[in-house]
Amino acid sequence: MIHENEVIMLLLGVGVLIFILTSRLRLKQIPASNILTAAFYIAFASWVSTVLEGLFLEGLFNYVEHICYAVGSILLAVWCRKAFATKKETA
Amino acid sequence: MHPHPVVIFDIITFLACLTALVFLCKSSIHAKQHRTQLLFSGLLVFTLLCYSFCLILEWSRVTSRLDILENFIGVLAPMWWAFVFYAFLKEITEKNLRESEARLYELFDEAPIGYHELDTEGRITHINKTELKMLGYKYEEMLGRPVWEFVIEEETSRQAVIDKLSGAIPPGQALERTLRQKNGNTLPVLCEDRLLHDDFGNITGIRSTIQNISKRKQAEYDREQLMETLASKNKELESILYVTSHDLRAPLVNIQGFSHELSLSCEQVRSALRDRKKSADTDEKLQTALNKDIPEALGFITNSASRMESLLSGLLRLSRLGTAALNIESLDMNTLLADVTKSTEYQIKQAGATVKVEPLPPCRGDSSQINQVFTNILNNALKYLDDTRPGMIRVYAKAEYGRNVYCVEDNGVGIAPDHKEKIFEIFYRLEPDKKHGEGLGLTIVKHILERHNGNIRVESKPGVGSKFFISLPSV
Repeated sequence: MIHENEVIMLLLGVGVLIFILTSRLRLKQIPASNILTAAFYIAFASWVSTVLEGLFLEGLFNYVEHICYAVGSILLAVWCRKAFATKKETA
Repeated sequence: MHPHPVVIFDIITFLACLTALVFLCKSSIHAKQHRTQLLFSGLLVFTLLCYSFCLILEWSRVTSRLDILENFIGVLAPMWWAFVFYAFLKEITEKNLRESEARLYELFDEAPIGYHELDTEGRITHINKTELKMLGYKYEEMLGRPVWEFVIEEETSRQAVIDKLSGAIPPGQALERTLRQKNGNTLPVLCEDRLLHDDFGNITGIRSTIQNISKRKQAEYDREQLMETLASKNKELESILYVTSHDLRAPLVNIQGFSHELSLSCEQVRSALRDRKKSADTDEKLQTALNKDIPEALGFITNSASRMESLLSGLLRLSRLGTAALNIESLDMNTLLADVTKSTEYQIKQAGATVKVEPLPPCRGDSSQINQVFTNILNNALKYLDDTRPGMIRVYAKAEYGRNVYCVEDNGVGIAPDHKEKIFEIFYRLEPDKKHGEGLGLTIVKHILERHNGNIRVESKPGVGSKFFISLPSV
Protein backbone atom coordinates (compact mmCIF):
# COMPACT_ATOMS: atom_id res chain seq x y z
CA MET A 1 0.00 0.00 0.00
CA ILE A 2 1.38 3.39 -0.99
CA HIS A 3 1.24 6.22 1.53
CA GLU A 4 0.70 9.81 0.41
CA ASN A 5 3.65 11.15 2.40
CA GLU A 6 5.97 8.64 0.69
CA VAL A 7 4.91 9.89 -2.75
CA ILE A 8 5.39 13.50 -1.60
CA MET A 9 8.86 12.60 -0.30
CA LEU A 10 9.72 11.02 -3.65
CA LEU A 11 8.42 13.97 -5.65
CA LEU A 12 10.35 16.41 -3.51
CA GLY A 13 13.39 14.16 -3.90
CA VAL A 14 12.97 14.17 -7.70
CA GLY A 15 12.89 17.99 -7.58
CA VAL A 16 16.12 18.08 -5.60
CA LEU A 17 17.65 15.47 -7.93
CA ILE A 18 16.86 17.60 -10.97
CA PHE A 19 18.30 20.64 -9.19
CA ILE A 20 21.51 18.72 -8.42
CA LEU A 21 21.86 17.33 -11.92
CA THR A 22 21.42 20.72 -13.55
CA SER A 23 23.91 22.36 -11.19
CA ARG A 24 26.41 19.53 -10.98
CA LEU A 25 29.31 21.57 -12.36
CA ARG A 26 28.91 24.31 -9.78
CA LEU A 27 28.24 21.76 -7.03
CA LYS A 28 31.73 20.37 -7.59
CA GLN A 29 33.00 23.45 -5.76
CA ILE A 30 31.32 22.27 -2.50
CA PRO A 31 33.97 20.77 -0.22
CA ALA A 32 33.92 16.94 -0.49
CA SER A 33 31.03 17.30 -2.91
CA ASN A 34 31.26 13.69 -4.13
CA ILE A 35 30.50 12.38 -0.62
CA LEU A 36 27.55 14.75 -0.18
CA THR A 37 26.03 13.91 -3.57
CA ALA A 38 26.60 10.18 -2.96
CA ALA A 39 24.76 10.54 0.36
CA PHE A 40 21.89 12.26 -1.43
CA TYR A 41 21.69 9.64 -4.20
CA ILE A 42 21.50 6.90 -1.52
CA ALA A 43 18.83 8.85 0.37
CA PHE A 44 16.95 9.19 -2.91
CA ALA A 45 17.26 5.42 -3.40
CA SER A 46 15.68 4.94 0.04
CA TRP A 47 12.72 7.15 -0.97
CA VAL A 48 12.26 5.15 -4.17
CA SER A 49 12.42 1.92 -2.16
CA THR A 50 9.78 3.25 0.23
CA VAL A 51 7.38 3.79 -2.67
CA LEU A 52 8.24 0.48 -4.37
CA GLU A 53 7.75 -1.30 -1.04
CA GLY A 54 4.05 -0.44 -1.27
CA LEU A 55 3.79 -1.98 -4.75
CA PHE A 56 5.74 -5.26 -4.65
CA LEU A 57 8.49 -7.14 -2.83
CA GLU A 58 7.63 -5.39 0.42
CA GLY A 59 10.19 -7.22 2.54
CA LEU A 60 13.12 -6.69 0.16
CA PHE A 61 12.48 -3.00 -0.48
CA ASN A 62 11.94 -2.44 3.26
CA TYR A 63 15.45 -3.80 3.84
CA VAL A 64 16.83 -1.71 1.00
CA GLU A 65 15.13 1.40 2.39
CA HIS A 66 16.66 1.04 5.85
CA ILE A 67 20.06 0.02 4.54
CA CYS A 68 20.04 3.13 2.34
CA TYR A 69 19.11 5.30 5.33
CA ALA A 70 21.99 3.86 7.31
CA VAL A 71 24.58 4.17 4.53
CA GLY A 72 23.36 7.67 3.60
CA SER A 73 23.60 8.81 7.23
CA ILE A 74 27.13 7.43 7.56
CA LEU A 75 28.18 9.26 4.39
CA LEU A 76 26.52 12.43 5.67
CA ALA A 77 28.43 12.15 8.94
CA VAL A 78 31.70 11.68 7.02
CA TRP A 79 30.88 14.69 4.83
CA CYS A 80 30.07 16.87 7.89
CA ARG A 81 33.43 15.93 9.36
CA LYS A 82 35.37 16.56 6.11
CA ALA A 83 33.56 19.61 4.82
CA PHE A 84 33.40 21.71 7.95
CA ALA A 85 36.70 20.55 9.44
CA THR A 86 38.38 21.59 6.18
CA LYS A 87 36.66 24.94 6.29
CA LYS A 88 37.78 25.54 9.86
CA GLU A 89 41.42 24.69 9.06
CA THR A 90 41.52 26.90 6.03
CA ALA A 91 39.86 29.71 7.95
CA MET B 1 11.95 -10.16 22.40
CA HIS B 2 14.34 -10.34 19.41
CA PRO B 3 14.78 -7.09 17.59
CA HIS B 4 13.87 -7.08 13.92
CA PRO B 5 17.07 -6.94 11.77
CA VAL B 6 15.85 -3.70 10.15
CA VAL B 7 16.07 -1.97 13.52
CA ILE B 8 19.83 -2.51 13.48
CA PHE B 9 20.04 -0.30 10.37
CA ASP B 10 17.85 2.30 12.07
CA ILE B 11 20.14 2.27 15.09
CA ILE B 12 23.14 2.69 12.77
CA THR B 13 21.31 5.61 11.12
CA PHE B 14 20.60 7.14 14.52
CA LEU B 15 24.20 6.78 15.69
CA ALA B 16 25.59 8.17 12.40
CA CYS B 17 23.27 11.17 12.64
CA LEU B 18 24.22 11.69 16.25
CA THR B 19 27.91 11.67 15.30
CA ALA B 20 27.27 14.11 12.45
CA LEU B 21 25.40 16.39 14.80
CA VAL B 22 28.34 16.37 17.23
CA PHE B 23 30.73 17.31 14.36
CA LEU B 24 28.44 20.11 13.29
CA CYS B 25 28.07 21.44 16.83
CA LYS B 26 31.85 21.43 17.27
CA SER B 27 32.34 23.16 13.92
CA SER B 28 29.70 25.78 14.67
CA ILE B 29 31.63 26.92 17.77
CA HIS B 30 34.57 28.12 15.64
CA ALA B 31 32.66 28.88 12.48
CA LYS B 32 32.79 32.49 11.32
CA GLN B 33 31.65 31.66 7.83
CA HIS B 34 29.23 29.16 6.32
CA ARG B 35 26.78 29.65 9.18
CA THR B 36 23.81 29.15 6.83
CA GLN B 37 25.26 25.92 5.45
CA LEU B 38 25.94 24.70 9.00
CA LEU B 39 22.38 25.52 10.03
CA PHE B 40 20.76 23.65 7.12
CA SER B 41 23.15 20.71 7.44
CA GLY B 42 22.30 20.59 11.16
CA LEU B 43 18.57 20.66 10.40
CA LEU B 44 18.96 17.85 7.85
CA VAL B 45 20.96 15.70 10.25
CA PHE B 46 18.54 16.46 13.10
CA THR B 47 15.57 15.50 10.90
CA LEU B 48 17.21 12.20 9.98
CA LEU B 49 18.06 11.65 13.65
CA CYS B 50 14.44 12.22 14.66
CA TYR B 51 13.18 10.06 11.78
CA SER B 52 15.43 7.13 12.76
CA PHE B 53 14.50 7.62 16.41
CA CYS B 54 10.79 7.38 15.47
CA LEU B 55 11.48 4.20 13.49
CA ILE B 56 13.35 2.67 16.43
CA LEU B 57 10.54 3.54 18.80
CA GLU B 58 8.03 2.14 16.33
CA TRP B 59 9.88 -1.14 15.97
CA SER B 60 10.51 -1.47 19.66
CA ARG B 61 6.76 -1.00 20.15
CA VAL B 62 7.27 1.64 22.83
CA THR B 63 4.54 3.56 21.16
CA SER B 64 2.63 3.17 17.92
CA ARG B 65 1.38 6.76 17.80
CA LEU B 66 4.37 8.21 15.98
CA ASP B 67 3.07 7.66 12.45
CA ILE B 68 1.96 11.26 11.89
CA LEU B 69 5.21 12.64 13.31
CA GLU B 70 7.24 10.13 11.28
CA ASN B 71 5.41 11.07 8.07
CA PHE B 72 5.87 14.79 8.73
CA ILE B 73 9.56 14.43 9.53
CA GLY B 74 10.03 12.19 6.48
CA VAL B 75 8.68 14.89 4.17
CA LEU B 76 11.02 17.47 5.71
CA ALA B 77 14.17 15.51 4.79
CA PRO B 78 14.19 16.21 0.99
CA MET B 79 13.46 19.86 1.75
CA TRP B 80 16.51 20.17 4.02
CA TRP B 81 18.59 18.41 1.38
CA ALA B 82 17.47 21.07 -1.10
CA PHE B 83 18.29 23.87 1.35
CA VAL B 84 21.78 22.46 2.01
CA PHE B 85 22.57 22.37 -1.70
CA TYR B 86 20.98 25.75 -2.27
CA ALA B 87 22.95 27.38 0.58
CA PHE B 88 26.20 26.09 -0.83
CA LEU B 89 25.29 27.05 -4.38
CA LYS B 90 24.35 30.56 -3.27
CA GLU B 91 27.68 31.00 -1.55
CA ILE B 92 29.56 29.58 -4.56
CA THR B 93 27.70 31.89 -6.92
CA GLU B 94 28.41 34.93 -4.74
CA LYS B 95 32.05 33.95 -4.43
CA ASN B 96 32.34 33.48 -8.21
CA LEU B 97 30.69 36.86 -8.72
CA ARG B 98 33.09 38.54 -6.30
CA GLU B 99 36.05 36.90 -8.02
CA SER B 100 34.71 37.89 -11.41
CA GLU B 101 34.28 41.49 -10.27
CA ALA B 102 37.79 41.48 -8.80
CA ARG B 103 39.18 40.09 -12.05
CA LEU B 104 37.32 42.68 -14.07
CA TYR B 105 38.51 45.46 -11.79
CA GLU B 106 42.06 44.14 -11.95
CA LEU B 107 41.81 43.97 -15.73
CA PHE B 108 40.59 47.58 -15.79
CA ASP B 109 43.25 48.74 -13.37
CA GLU B 110 46.24 46.76 -14.58
CA ALA B 111 45.50 46.92 -18.31
CA PRO B 112 48.48 47.85 -20.46
CA ILE B 113 46.57 50.93 -21.63
CA GLY B 114 45.06 53.80 -19.67
CA TYR B 115 41.29 54.03 -19.14
CA HIS B 116 39.18 56.86 -17.90
CA GLU B 117 35.50 57.67 -17.84
CA LEU B 118 33.95 61.12 -18.02
CA ASP B 119 30.56 62.36 -16.87
CA THR B 120 28.29 64.58 -18.96
CA GLU B 121 30.36 67.64 -18.09
CA GLY B 122 33.66 66.12 -19.09
CA ARG B 123 34.83 65.50 -15.51
CA ILE B 124 36.77 62.36 -14.74
CA THR B 125 34.68 59.80 -12.83
CA HIS B 126 36.89 56.72 -13.12
CA ILE B 127 40.54 56.33 -13.96
CA ASN B 128 42.71 53.25 -13.91
CA LYS B 129 46.11 52.76 -12.30
CA THR B 130 47.91 52.56 -15.66
CA GLU B 131 46.82 56.05 -16.62
CA LEU B 132 47.62 57.40 -13.15
CA LYS B 133 51.07 55.86 -13.49
CA MET B 134 51.47 57.35 -16.98
CA LEU B 135 50.69 60.86 -15.76
CA GLY B 136 52.18 60.58 -12.26
CA TYR B 137 49.03 61.73 -10.44
CA LYS B 138 47.16 60.20 -7.52
CA TYR B 139 43.56 59.02 -7.98
CA GLU B 140 42.07 61.82 -5.91
CA GLU B 141 44.15 64.43 -7.76
CA MET B 142 42.46 63.60 -11.06
CA LEU B 143 38.99 62.57 -9.93
CA GLY B 144 36.35 65.21 -10.64
CA ARG B 145 38.64 67.42 -12.73
CA PRO B 146 37.82 68.21 -16.38
CA VAL B 147 39.84 65.95 -18.63
CA TRP B 148 41.11 68.80 -20.85
CA GLU B 149 43.11 70.18 -17.90
CA PHE B 150 45.54 67.33 -18.54
CA VAL B 151 45.80 67.91 -22.28
CA ILE B 152 48.33 70.29 -23.85
CA GLU B 153 45.88 71.17 -26.63
CA GLU B 154 43.45 72.22 -23.87
CA GLU B 155 40.95 74.31 -25.84
CA THR B 156 40.75 71.85 -28.75
CA SER B 157 40.24 68.97 -26.36
CA ARG B 158 37.57 70.82 -24.33
CA GLN B 159 35.60 71.66 -27.45
CA ALA B 160 35.89 68.10 -28.78
CA VAL B 161 34.69 66.57 -25.48
CA ILE B 162 31.73 68.96 -25.23
CA ASP B 163 30.77 68.29 -28.86
CA LYS B 164 30.93 64.53 -28.35
CA LEU B 165 28.86 64.69 -25.16
CA SER B 166 26.24 66.80 -26.89
CA GLY B 167 26.15 64.31 -29.74
CA ALA B 168 27.28 66.97 -32.23
CA ILE B 169 30.17 64.87 -33.43
CA PRO B 170 30.68 61.11 -33.23
CA PRO B 171 33.41 59.77 -30.92
CA GLY B 172 36.87 59.99 -32.45
CA GLN B 173 38.51 56.99 -34.04
CA ALA B 174 42.08 57.39 -32.84
CA LEU B 175 43.33 60.85 -31.99
CA GLU B 176 46.88 61.71 -31.14
CA ARG B 177 47.02 63.97 -28.10
CA THR B 178 49.75 65.27 -25.85
CA LEU B 179 49.06 64.89 -22.15
CA ARG B 180 50.58 66.96 -19.38
CA GLN B 181 52.30 64.90 -16.69
CA LYS B 182 52.43 65.99 -13.05
CA ASN B 183 56.17 66.67 -13.27
CA GLY B 184 55.58 69.07 -16.17
CA ASN B 185 56.74 66.71 -18.90
CA THR B 186 54.56 65.89 -21.88
CA LEU B 187 53.40 62.47 -22.99
CA PRO B 188 52.23 61.72 -26.54
CA VAL B 189 49.24 59.36 -26.47
CA LEU B 190 46.78 57.74 -28.84
CA CYS B 191 43.27 58.36 -27.53
CA GLU B 192 40.18 56.36 -28.53
CA ASP B 193 36.79 56.93 -27.00
CA ARG B 194 33.21 55.73 -27.06
CA LEU B 195 30.02 57.17 -25.70
CA LEU B 196 28.21 55.71 -22.68
CA HIS B 197 24.41 55.58 -22.73
CA ASP B 198 21.70 54.90 -20.15
CA ASP B 199 18.74 52.55 -20.68
CA PHE B 200 16.88 55.27 -22.59
CA GLY B 201 19.73 55.93 -25.00
CA ASN B 202 20.78 59.23 -23.43
CA ILE B 203 24.49 60.01 -23.40
CA THR B 204 25.83 59.61 -19.86
CA GLY B 205 29.53 60.03 -20.48
CA ILE B 206 32.58 58.98 -22.42
CA ARG B 207 34.95 56.08 -21.85
CA SER B 208 38.41 56.62 -23.31
CA THR B 209 41.44 54.44 -23.79
CA ILE B 210 44.88 56.01 -23.71
CA GLN B 211 47.92 54.40 -25.28
CA ASN B 212 51.40 55.69 -24.57
CA ILE B 213 53.02 56.25 -27.97
CA SER B 214 56.16 58.00 -26.77
CA LYS B 215 58.31 55.04 -27.88
CA ARG B 216 56.64 55.08 -31.30
CA LYS B 217 57.15 58.85 -31.52
CA GLN B 218 60.78 58.46 -30.49
CA ALA B 219 61.20 55.73 -33.11
CA GLU B 220 59.63 57.99 -35.74
CA TYR B 221 61.91 60.85 -34.72
CA ASP B 222 64.93 58.53 -34.79
CA ARG B 223 63.88 57.30 -38.23
CA GLU B 224 63.57 60.85 -39.50
CA GLN B 225 66.97 61.69 -38.07
CA LEU B 226 68.39 58.58 -39.67
CA MET B 227 66.84 59.48 -43.00
CA GLU B 228 68.27 62.97 -42.75
CA THR B 229 71.69 61.58 -41.89
CA LEU B 230 71.40 59.11 -44.73
CA ALA B 231 70.42 61.83 -47.17
CA SER B 232 73.28 64.00 -45.97
CA LYS B 233 75.72 61.09 -46.27
CA ASN B 234 74.45 60.33 -49.75
CA LYS B 235 74.92 63.96 -50.74
CA GLU B 236 78.38 63.90 -49.22
CA LEU B 237 79.20 60.70 -51.04
CA GLU B 238 78.02 62.18 -54.31
CA SER B 239 80.11 65.24 -53.63
CA ILE B 240 83.16 63.11 -52.80
CA LEU B 241 82.60 61.11 -55.96
CA TYR B 242 82.30 64.23 -58.06
CA VAL B 243 85.24 66.05 -56.50
CA THR B 244 87.41 62.95 -56.51
CA SER B 245 86.73 62.16 -60.13
CA HIS B 246 87.24 65.81 -61.04
CA ASP B 247 90.43 66.29 -59.05
CA LEU B 248 91.90 62.96 -60.03
CA ARG B 249 91.17 63.72 -63.69
CA ALA B 250 93.30 66.89 -63.70
CA PRO B 251 96.62 65.12 -62.94
CA LEU B 252 95.67 62.37 -65.36
CA VAL B 253 95.14 64.90 -68.13
CA ASN B 254 98.51 66.37 -67.23
CA ILE B 255 100.18 62.98 -67.36
CA GLN B 256 98.53 62.23 -70.69
CA GLY B 257 99.48 65.61 -72.17
CA PHE B 258 103.06 65.59 -71.04
CA SER B 259 103.52 61.96 -72.01
CA HIS B 260 102.56 63.08 -75.49
CA GLU B 261 105.02 65.94 -75.21
CA LEU B 262 107.63 63.47 -74.09
CA SER B 263 106.88 61.28 -77.07
CA LEU B 264 107.26 64.28 -79.41
CA SER B 265 110.56 65.19 -77.76
CA CYS B 266 111.79 61.62 -78.19
CA GLU B 267 110.83 61.80 -81.86
CA GLN B 268 112.72 65.07 -82.11
CA VAL B 269 115.79 63.43 -80.58
CA ARG B 270 115.58 60.50 -82.97
CA SER B 271 115.14 62.83 -85.94
CA ALA B 272 118.06 65.02 -84.77
CA LEU B 273 120.27 61.97 -84.44
CA ARG B 274 119.36 60.90 -88.02
CA ASP B 275 120.03 64.39 -89.44
CA ARG B 276 123.18 64.97 -87.44
CA LYS B 277 125.40 64.70 -90.48
CA LYS B 278 123.24 66.83 -92.77
CA SER B 279 122.55 69.86 -90.61
CA ALA B 280 124.62 72.08 -88.37
CA ASP B 281 121.90 73.17 -85.99
CA THR B 282 121.09 69.58 -85.01
CA ASP B 283 123.14 69.79 -81.87
CA GLU B 284 121.16 72.79 -80.71
CA LYS B 285 117.85 70.94 -81.24
CA LEU B 286 119.22 67.93 -79.43
CA GLN B 287 120.37 70.10 -76.57
CA THR B 288 116.93 71.77 -76.32
CA ALA B 289 115.07 68.46 -76.32
CA LEU B 290 117.35 66.77 -73.81
CA ASN B 291 117.88 69.71 -71.46
CA LYS B 292 114.54 71.47 -71.58
CA ASP B 293 111.58 69.66 -73.10
CA ILE B 294 112.13 66.16 -71.78
CA PRO B 295 112.97 67.18 -68.14
CA GLU B 296 110.04 69.63 -68.18
CA ALA B 297 107.60 66.94 -69.32
CA LEU B 298 109.02 64.47 -66.84
CA GLY B 299 108.68 67.08 -64.08
CA PHE B 300 104.99 67.65 -64.88
CA ILE B 301 104.35 63.92 -65.01
CA THR B 302 106.07 63.41 -61.64
CA ASN B 303 104.13 66.30 -60.09
CA SER B 304 100.84 64.97 -61.39
CA ALA B 305 101.60 61.51 -60.11
CA SER B 306 102.49 63.01 -56.70
CA ARG B 307 99.28 64.99 -56.69
CA MET B 308 97.32 61.84 -57.47
CA GLU B 309 99.10 59.96 -54.72
CA SER B 310 98.38 62.81 -52.32
CA LEU B 311 94.68 62.81 -53.23
CA LEU B 312 94.42 59.06 -52.89
CA SER B 313 96.21 59.01 -49.54
CA GLY B 314 93.91 61.82 -48.38
CA LEU B 315 90.90 59.73 -49.35
CA LEU B 316 92.38 56.78 -47.49
CA ARG B 317 92.90 58.88 -44.37
CA LEU B 318 89.33 60.10 -44.56
CA SER B 319 87.95 56.60 -44.95
CA ARG B 320 90.05 55.39 -42.01
CA LEU B 321 88.58 58.13 -39.83
CA GLY B 322 85.15 56.55 -40.17
CA THR B 323 86.31 53.14 -38.95
CA ALA B 324 88.81 54.11 -36.23
CA ALA B 325 87.61 53.09 -32.76
CA LEU B 326 86.74 55.99 -30.49
CA ASN B 327 87.87 56.08 -26.89
CA ILE B 328 85.39 58.57 -25.46
CA GLU B 329 86.50 60.07 -22.15
CA SER B 330 86.45 63.31 -20.24
CA LEU B 331 88.99 65.65 -21.81
CA ASP B 332 90.85 68.44 -20.07
CA MET B 333 90.66 70.96 -22.91
CA ASN B 334 93.24 73.29 -21.35
CA THR B 335 95.86 70.52 -21.46
CA LEU B 336 94.74 69.46 -24.94
CA LEU B 337 95.02 72.99 -26.37
CA ALA B 338 98.42 73.40 -24.66
CA ASP B 339 99.58 70.26 -26.52
CA VAL B 340 98.16 71.57 -29.79
CA THR B 341 99.87 74.98 -29.51
CA LYS B 342 103.11 73.28 -28.50
CA SER B 343 103.04 70.98 -31.54
CA THR B 344 102.35 73.95 -33.86
CA GLU B 345 104.85 76.24 -32.17
CA TYR B 346 107.12 76.29 -35.25
CA GLN B 347 104.29 77.37 -37.58
CA ILE B 348 103.18 80.03 -35.06
CA LYS B 349 106.69 81.48 -34.98
CA GLN B 350 106.98 81.31 -38.75
CA ALA B 351 103.69 83.20 -39.12
CA GLY B 352 104.68 85.66 -36.39
CA ALA B 353 101.28 85.17 -34.78
CA THR B 354 100.09 85.30 -31.19
CA VAL B 355 97.89 82.48 -29.91
CA LYS B 356 95.88 83.19 -26.77
CA VAL B 357 94.02 80.31 -25.09
CA GLU B 358 91.50 81.26 -22.42
CA PRO B 359 90.40 78.81 -19.68
CA LEU B 360 88.33 76.08 -21.35
CA PRO B 361 85.73 73.74 -19.81
CA PRO B 362 86.21 69.96 -20.18
CA CYS B 363 84.24 67.96 -22.75
CA ARG B 364 83.74 64.34 -23.78
CA GLY B 365 85.60 62.90 -26.74
CA ASP B 366 88.50 60.89 -28.10
CA SER B 367 91.71 62.64 -27.09
CA SER B 368 93.71 62.07 -30.29
CA GLN B 369 90.83 62.93 -32.64
CA ILE B 370 89.84 66.12 -30.80
CA ASN B 371 93.53 67.04 -30.83
CA GLN B 372 93.43 66.55 -34.61
CA VAL B 373 90.37 68.85 -34.84
CA PHE B 374 92.05 71.76 -33.06
CA THR B 375 95.39 71.17 -34.81
CA ASN B 376 93.71 71.38 -38.23
CA ILE B 377 91.75 74.52 -37.33
CA LEU B 378 94.79 76.21 -35.81
CA ASN B 379 96.90 75.31 -38.88
CA ASN B 380 94.20 76.72 -41.13
CA ALA B 381 94.05 79.92 -39.09
CA LEU B 382 97.85 80.27 -39.32
CA LYS B 383 97.84 79.49 -43.04
CA TYR B 384 95.27 82.12 -43.91
CA LEU B 385 96.55 85.02 -41.75
CA ASP B 386 96.57 88.46 -43.32
CA ASP B 387 100.13 89.49 -44.18
CA THR B 388 99.29 93.17 -43.70
CA ARG B 389 98.75 92.90 -39.90
CA PRO B 390 100.12 90.85 -37.00
CA GLY B 391 98.31 87.55 -36.67
CA MET B 392 96.15 87.10 -33.59
CA ILE B 393 94.39 83.84 -32.76
CA ARG B 394 92.16 83.50 -29.70
CA VAL B 395 90.60 80.29 -28.35
CA TYR B 396 87.73 80.55 -25.87
CA ALA B 397 84.55 78.66 -24.93
CA LYS B 398 81.01 79.06 -23.68
CA ALA B 399 78.29 76.67 -22.49
CA GLU B 400 75.21 76.38 -24.71
CA TYR B 401 72.21 74.04 -24.14
CA GLY B 402 74.19 71.47 -22.17
CA ARG B 403 77.08 71.52 -24.63
CA ASN B 404 80.39 73.32 -24.77
CA VAL B 405 81.03 75.55 -27.76
CA TYR B 406 84.73 76.23 -28.37
CA CYS B 407 85.62 79.14 -30.62
CA VAL B 408 88.84 79.61 -32.57
CA GLU B 409 88.91 83.23 -33.68
CA ASP B 410 91.50 84.71 -36.02
CA ASN B 411 92.10 88.03 -37.74
CA GLY B 412 93.05 86.42 -41.04
CA VAL B 413 91.91 87.03 -44.57
CA GLY B 414 88.39 85.77 -43.84
CA ILE B 415 86.09 83.71 -46.02
CA ALA B 416 83.71 85.03 -48.64
CA PRO B 417 80.05 84.08 -47.98
CA ASP B 418 80.00 81.88 -51.11
CA HIS B 419 82.77 79.70 -49.76
CA LYS B 420 81.46 79.25 -46.22
CA GLU B 421 79.86 75.86 -46.83
CA LYS B 422 82.31 74.72 -49.51
CA ILE B 423 85.33 74.91 -47.22
CA PHE B 424 84.11 71.69 -45.52
CA GLU B 425 83.96 69.82 -48.82
CA ILE B 426 86.66 67.34 -49.64
CA PHE B 427 89.72 68.68 -51.53
CA TYR B 428 88.31 72.20 -51.50
CA ARG B 429 90.94 74.92 -51.11
CA LEU B 430 90.42 78.65 -50.83
CA GLU B 431 93.58 79.76 -52.63
CA PRO B 432 94.96 76.67 -54.36
CA ASP B 433 97.66 78.61 -56.19
CA LYS B 434 98.96 80.48 -53.18
CA LYS B 435 98.66 77.98 -50.33
CA HIS B 436 99.82 74.41 -50.06
CA GLY B 437 97.52 71.68 -48.81
CA GLU B 438 95.26 68.84 -49.82
CA GLY B 439 91.95 70.49 -49.03
CA LEU B 440 91.21 67.84 -46.42
CA GLY B 441 91.74 69.62 -43.08
CA LEU B 442 88.22 70.90 -42.50
CA THR B 443 86.63 67.82 -44.08
CA ILE B 444 88.44 65.69 -41.51
CA VAL B 445 87.36 68.10 -38.74
CA LYS B 446 83.73 67.79 -39.81
CA HIS B 447 83.91 63.98 -39.94
CA ILE B 448 85.49 63.73 -36.52
CA LEU B 449 82.92 66.06 -34.96
CA GLU B 450 80.03 64.16 -36.52
CA ARG B 451 81.33 60.97 -34.94
CA HIS B 452 81.50 62.79 -31.59
CA ASN B 453 77.91 64.01 -31.86
CA GLY B 454 79.33 67.48 -32.32
CA ASN B 455 79.26 70.03 -35.07
CA ILE B 456 81.16 72.96 -36.56
CA ARG B 457 80.04 76.26 -38.02
CA VAL B 458 81.86 79.32 -39.22
CA GLU B 459 81.31 83.06 -39.05
CA SER B 460 83.56 85.17 -41.17
CA LYS B 461 84.03 88.55 -42.77
CA PRO B 462 86.48 88.90 -45.65
CA GLY B 463 89.37 91.13 -44.58
CA VAL B 464 88.40 90.99 -40.90
CA GLY B 465 88.79 87.38 -39.80
CA SER B 466 86.97 84.13 -39.08
CA LYS B 467 85.42 82.40 -36.09
CA PHE B 468 85.13 78.61 -36.07
CA PHE B 469 82.60 77.36 -33.49
CA ILE B 470 83.08 73.74 -32.41
CA SER B 471 80.28 72.23 -30.38
CA LEU B 472 81.03 69.13 -28.26
CA PRO B 473 79.10 67.25 -25.53
CA SER B 474 79.93 68.57 -22.08
CA VAL B 475 81.00 66.29 -19.23
